Amino acid sequence: MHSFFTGKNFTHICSIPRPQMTRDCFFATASNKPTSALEVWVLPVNSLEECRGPLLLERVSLASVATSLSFIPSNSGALPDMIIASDQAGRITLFHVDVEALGSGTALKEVSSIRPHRGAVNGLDVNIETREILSVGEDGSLNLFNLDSMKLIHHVPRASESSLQAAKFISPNEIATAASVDQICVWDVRSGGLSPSATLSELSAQTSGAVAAAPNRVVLSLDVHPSKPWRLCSATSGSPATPAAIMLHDLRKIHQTDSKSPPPFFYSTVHESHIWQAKFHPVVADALLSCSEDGSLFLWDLNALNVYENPSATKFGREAERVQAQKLSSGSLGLNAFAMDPDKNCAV
Amino acid sequence: MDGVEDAPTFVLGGVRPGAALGMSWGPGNRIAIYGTKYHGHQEKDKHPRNGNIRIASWDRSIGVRRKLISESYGPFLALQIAMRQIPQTELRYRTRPLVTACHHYRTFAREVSSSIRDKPDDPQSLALISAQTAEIALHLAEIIFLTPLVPAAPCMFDWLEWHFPIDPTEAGADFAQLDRPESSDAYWHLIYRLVMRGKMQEARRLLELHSEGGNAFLGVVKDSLGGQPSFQLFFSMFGDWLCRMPAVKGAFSSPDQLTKFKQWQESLSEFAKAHPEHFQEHNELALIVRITQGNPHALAEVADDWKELLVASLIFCEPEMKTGYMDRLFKDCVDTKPQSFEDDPLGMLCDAAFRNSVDDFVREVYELGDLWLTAHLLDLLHHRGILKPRLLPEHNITQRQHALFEYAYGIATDDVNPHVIVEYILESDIPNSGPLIEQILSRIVPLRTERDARKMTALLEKVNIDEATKRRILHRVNRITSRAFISRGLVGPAIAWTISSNAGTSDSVSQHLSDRLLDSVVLPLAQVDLPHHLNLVRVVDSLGLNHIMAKYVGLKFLRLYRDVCQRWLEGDRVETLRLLVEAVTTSDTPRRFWLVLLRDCARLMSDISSQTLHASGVTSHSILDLMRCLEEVHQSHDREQLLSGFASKIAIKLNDSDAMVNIDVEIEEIRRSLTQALSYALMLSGQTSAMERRFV
Repeated sequence: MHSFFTGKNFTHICSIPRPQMTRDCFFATASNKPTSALEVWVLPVNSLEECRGPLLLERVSLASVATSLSFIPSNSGALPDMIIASDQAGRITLFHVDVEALGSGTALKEVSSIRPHRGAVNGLDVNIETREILSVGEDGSLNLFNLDSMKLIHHVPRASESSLQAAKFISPNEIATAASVDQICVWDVRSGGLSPSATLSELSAQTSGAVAAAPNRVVLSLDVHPSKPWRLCSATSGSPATPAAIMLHDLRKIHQTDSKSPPPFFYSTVHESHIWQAKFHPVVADALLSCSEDGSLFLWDLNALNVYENPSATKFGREAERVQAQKLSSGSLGLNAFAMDPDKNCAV
Repeated sequence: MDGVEDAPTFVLGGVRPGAALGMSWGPGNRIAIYGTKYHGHQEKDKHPRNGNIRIASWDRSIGVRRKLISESYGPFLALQIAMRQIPQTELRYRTRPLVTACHHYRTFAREVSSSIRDKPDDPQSLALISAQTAEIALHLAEIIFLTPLVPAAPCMFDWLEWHFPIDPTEAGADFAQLDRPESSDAYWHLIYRLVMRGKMQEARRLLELHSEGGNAFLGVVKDSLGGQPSFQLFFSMFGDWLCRMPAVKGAFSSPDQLTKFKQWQESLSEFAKAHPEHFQEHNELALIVRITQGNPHALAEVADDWKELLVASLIFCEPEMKTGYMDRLFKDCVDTKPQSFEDDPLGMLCDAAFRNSVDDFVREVYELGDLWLTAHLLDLLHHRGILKPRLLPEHNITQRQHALFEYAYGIATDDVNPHVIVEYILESDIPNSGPLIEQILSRIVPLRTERDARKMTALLEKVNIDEATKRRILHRVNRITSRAFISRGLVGPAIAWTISSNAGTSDSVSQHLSDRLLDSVVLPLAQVDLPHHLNLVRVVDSLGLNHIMAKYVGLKFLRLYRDVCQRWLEGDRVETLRLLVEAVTTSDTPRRFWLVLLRDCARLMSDISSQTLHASGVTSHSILDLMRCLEEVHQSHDREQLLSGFASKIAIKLNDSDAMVNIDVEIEEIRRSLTQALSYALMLSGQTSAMERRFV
């Protein structure tokens, strides 16, 4: 593990896969200090041995602090690579990225921008297959756009009476959102309704037996297992009464039970403060990473949980205890975000 | 006026035309500019009217600065932890973390220098000089103050090579182009300097550039070397003798190494004595031999400045000298090369260091005006136990406290992580730092989103500040976050943050917000019939108030009503009815909800059987209470207000007479249902006489 200080405060980061070009690791960052900007960096793989820092290739100033980034690769070649960024002013901006021209100063070009939210956009996800963008924000609204036209497909003005913190596509037709309350909502886009189709609630009480008067955990990050889409991971805030937790939910169960939310089938409170992001490894099966305000980055090996998929397994509780969490890094400053390069198996 | 550029101008918004401008330096890269407008035309009549203050800031290579600040924070914190764990008496064990931290600081300063140097177009020469100076000063402090009992020669050799290097590569390439490089004074001067620094390999490479010559000396060499023809070979051979010198780094670490070094000096001397005619012929070689023998005149003759002389003297004359005892040698070197000392901008700093005068050294460091250097250097000296813990008279705090505080205050800008600032202030141990932290955080921490607020609360949980300050800062954070939610119309989280800002107590603001929540969110949802109350449950759950609803008067009713809807959705009509009756009769229920609730009660009672009514525990007394509530609403002087919520349900206006008729019809229906339910209840309890009385 190497630490490189760039003199900037990154609010979000995403990997830019370029396997055909080079072994080096490319990634885009959103920084808010000293100024708001979208930047593209390269981390030469050999520099990991030489302890040289990443090199800044491109920089575009932003009017407001970017809260989330997603890289959209060009599949057919007809469309260029894109980076989509959301910001604290409620904007969603699309940038074209000319990967061949990185370093020339003209590789990042803003192509369109919309402002669907009042207040910060907290969660952003892109479904590349259906070319749809999902966004949720501080104003409690949920929006679904077409990526190419940036036209609104579905709008829920009050998806929550609180701010929405995270959103993720479960499938092309299903969405998971997390409000800054103790619940996760699942929405069926096909119905076009303004209410969620299912809700996972009282997560704090189910996991830690927290007393009712204790402040609830807030789900800050969501991710769906890349090959088992019924596995939803949530990462929460923490407080002395209810420590931050990583939870895994079985989405198949939420439609089976009548009224009570099914408890998460796995949870852990290893992190000492808010877990800002948790993400499944896009390629390595059952690997999960999570970063926290306490400065730690954990790698979770969830292989032991596969016994859960077997209905006859009765030793699941003991197996869950065998889930190993490896601390990849621990620093004195909080970690806001991380990104994984699936080709180099490298977390930035 | 040729060569004089126009003064830069800028327009300052908000300052009135004709106002007198003044300025004041702020922390970090900020400057406060204020304009004051005066009344009166005569000087004596003038008195200030109102002034405007604007805060301006300027870019000061912020990225590099942030990098330095962020990087040095980790080692600084690690050092504080290590020093708390290792007792002060264990000096041996305390030295290692001190040196490690100092190494880190030097590396960071070097990175700053190189990152600025890589961009020669940036007008940051001052920052470059500052970073280089910081690195030199830190290294000097490490050698003399942190590790005073180690051999000085290798340490000072490193210091000189690191900060004042000479690179013979380029010059060597130039000399290689010459036919007779030995005829150039610069050629020999470079060789002398390399020998002085103990860089014998480089010196030999240059010696090998010596031309074949063609003078009489060649024949002598041929004889002496058994007829070997090459003139270069002799120089090469001499170079080999030089290269046999043990490496300076590590050469003086043990008595054995020291003996080997002395043996090398003797063998070189013997070699020169064996060929006196050669060396007499070539004075430059003789001078090199004299340098290696530590001849003070030879050293003084070729040394460029006092630094080179000091290092050469250490290597060749005083190899056993320890780092903390170089004051005499330093004085001799300065006396020998006074001009170079006077020209040296760091001369006074070095003088203080070599004299082992910590006070003077600290004073010189202060003179450099680098807050980063001062803070970290004084912290190192403090932990080494050589910084006097006396109080600064004007501040009543120690030098270290002052330096750390100044640094923390200096970096207190919105481009630095607030955590870093707070930790430095806390580690400075200055008394009563709480209000100061509060002031700084309130100025620099942006609270634009709920995440920002959570980050801030996490920071406050981590740092060890007094409870009163913590409460005040949290109060501010919660208040600002609450206002942000109100502006977005999200009343639920606004209530939660407001209650948090009052240390968990409900105040008039939260009461007001609770009323607003009930009116704007809950009442419209409650107006639909019970079977459609799924939406209400979802909305109430998404308010984020679950953990406080049971505790606060304004929200207790909400929790109860949510439970009513939840039970209904679960199909538990018995429990639904019981809770509904409880909701109407409890004192926490706002009266404007009575009619809505009574309607739900009445409909539920009319639908269920008498057995179910009995099972729910609803007695005739409860129903009489419901009826009393209904009559109260109907006959109350604020009837219009009480009916307002109910009226909107059927989309009418109160001033519409037809609407009032509709409401009266609705009330009459509720009354009839309640009466019927009462009769059931009385029959079930056998209180027919009471029923008769009622009907009478």
